[in-house]
Amino acid sequence: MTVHLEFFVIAVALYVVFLTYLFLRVIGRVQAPFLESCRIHGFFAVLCFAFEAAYVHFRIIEPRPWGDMAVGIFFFFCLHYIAFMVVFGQISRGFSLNICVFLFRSGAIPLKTLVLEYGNGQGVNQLKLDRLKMMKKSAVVYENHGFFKLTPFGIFTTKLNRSLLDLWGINYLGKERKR
Amino acid sequence: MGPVFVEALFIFFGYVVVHIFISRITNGGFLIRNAAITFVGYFSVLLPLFFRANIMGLSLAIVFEILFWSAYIIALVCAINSVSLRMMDDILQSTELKLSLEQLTKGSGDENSIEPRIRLMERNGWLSIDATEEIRLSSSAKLLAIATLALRRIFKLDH
Repeated sequence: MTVHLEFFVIAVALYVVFLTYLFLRVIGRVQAPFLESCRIHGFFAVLCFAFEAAYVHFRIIEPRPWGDMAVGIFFFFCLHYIAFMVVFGQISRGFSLNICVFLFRSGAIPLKTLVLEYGNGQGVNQLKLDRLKMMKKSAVVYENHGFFKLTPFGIFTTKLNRSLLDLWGINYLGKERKR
Repeated sequence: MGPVFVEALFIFFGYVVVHIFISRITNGGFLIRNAAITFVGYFSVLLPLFFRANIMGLSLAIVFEILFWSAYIIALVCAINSVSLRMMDDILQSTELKLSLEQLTKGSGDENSIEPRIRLMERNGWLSIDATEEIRLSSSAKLLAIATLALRRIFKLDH
């Protein structure tokens, strides 16, 4: 079996360029970092496709390794959605990591003080408020006269998730499953 | 590489079907508690299937299976655990398809306390709580905090 690892190399190299671009673009300061990073990644995915197609065309490898090329592009997506997004999500809003950082900054403190002071004394509510802010930026919800409503994309996402949960036969953690 | 990918994909989907079936008949308990163990278990079953291929084919197949399963586990954890998705579901389940800030952040006292999470972190060895109820981070958690702060600084994520 001939394995064309060049496609993996192209994918990894382009991903490094993509990460460098995110760093230079100061991704943490944009309105919706997650969506923006996915949008930029989409552009780089097109570039990845173009580079790999050009490689196949100009190297004149017979038979044409279109399958290997598709796998290379798949790998490019995996790097983003399986590796980067998970790490990025955790460092930006991981609940336990936030507590660790809080403790690291404050040093050894009594449990009561931590419970009272974390999230400006709002506890888990602070987490929910942060998420709401992010959801508004990501255009899955919008505020109308003091009420939060779902956008069409928000409705689609929620229904998709609900159908996945139904497929697995489960509900959100801590919620009773509807029968 | 293409044929190994397709083969790995077919085997992965086969196991997903089995996984969903077991999850449904156990009412989700199996899926939630044993997702990680299932991953390892399936993998050990999966490995011998590839011994007929050469070492390169075997390595590639393992890489693909790791990628597929990682995506599957991430989707699973997000689907059941995401705070955002839970709030969006609350809005969708409401009669007028809208909820106020108070309704979305409802819950007081214990429900909004971070103490259960701290206890969980203690059980997992992230921190220790001594007799005087003082909390200390473990050395690995300190490293994790340092790494998090460094990455936040790199990506300019302000908190």
